[in-house]
Amino acid sequence: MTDPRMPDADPRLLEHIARLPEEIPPARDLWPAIHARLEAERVAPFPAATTSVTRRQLPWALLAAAAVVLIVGTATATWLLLGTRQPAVMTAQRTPAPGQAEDGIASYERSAEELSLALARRSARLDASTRAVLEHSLSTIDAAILEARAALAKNPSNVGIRSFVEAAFRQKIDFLRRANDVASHWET
Amino acid sequence: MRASPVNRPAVEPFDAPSDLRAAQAGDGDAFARLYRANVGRIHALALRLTGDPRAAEELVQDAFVRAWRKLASFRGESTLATWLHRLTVNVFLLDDRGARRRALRELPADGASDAIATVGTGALGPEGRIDLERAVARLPEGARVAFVLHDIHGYTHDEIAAMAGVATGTIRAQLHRARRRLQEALDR
Repeated sequence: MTDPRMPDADPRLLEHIARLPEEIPPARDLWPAIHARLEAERVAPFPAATTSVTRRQLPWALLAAAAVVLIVGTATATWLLLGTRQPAVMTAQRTPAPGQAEDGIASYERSAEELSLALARRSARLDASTRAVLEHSLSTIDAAILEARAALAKNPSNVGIRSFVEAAFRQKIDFLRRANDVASHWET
Repeated sequence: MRASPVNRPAVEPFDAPSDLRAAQAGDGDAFARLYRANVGRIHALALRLTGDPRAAEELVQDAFVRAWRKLASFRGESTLATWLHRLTVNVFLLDDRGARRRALRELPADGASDAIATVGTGALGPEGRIDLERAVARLPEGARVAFVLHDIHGYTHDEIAAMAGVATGTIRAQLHRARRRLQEALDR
């Protein structure tokens, strides 16, 4: 057996690698522990059964999500302002809407993903406690987005919900831009 | 992830599109089904990366908790299985990242026998064949991570270096170190 990517590897070793199983089930069911963590950490509203957001529940779900986004936005903006060594050069502009209606959310998603990747690269240079603050804030925003998108999936024609989802993404993009600004200053 | 020519899954695990969409919209039952469909592969990866069953279970749990947090950002540019695979690697490398990077950087002087004996001892199967899983688990951490990601799971040197935040040459050196140790075990 030969492998063009590993021309100097011992063929016997390659044979052993090829025989390795693709899957190894864990010795015990890990799902209960994962489920418990998702609920305990309140990473995101995690239903034990299928999610059902009724019309009656919907405004409360959205209000809760909106509150989370606003709280996170305010708290983390404060942290970012206090945490940066060079606050004067930090950009804090509002994010312009990159698209309209249907493709607006996808456009926001792309922007958020690009900024997340950039931040992931930079955050490796930050200390653990700073990274923990960033991750916690991002997970809270993501949870709010997830909940809002769940509502939108059930009411796809609801313009108000769509606007909320887009607003939540704008919050996330703003946060990521600010975090990238701070992280880039800490690199120097 | 680039699939390995020697241990590449012939077919990626089936990701039911409806389950994926439902999970992205917050459906916990759908996410549980995605977990069931993918846990075998993720646990195999975790077991090889950590070299320890208990640590592997913790890594699997961490990875799926992170997956739930980030599922809304998954855009389907790869299969869910591939996305989960890379996410698990990132969780592993980011966990106590300083220690992981130090482990990847640690290379003994030429001729040093830091792990030669331990790889061989107890790594032989009942017919005298090497038990590769056990032998890999006994490698020094840096060598093990490089070998598992490159030779077993098909990541390139550059991909591993970027994810781990170390130089590509370091990954090559760790890989060489791992192969040498394992080939020595084969020769016994």
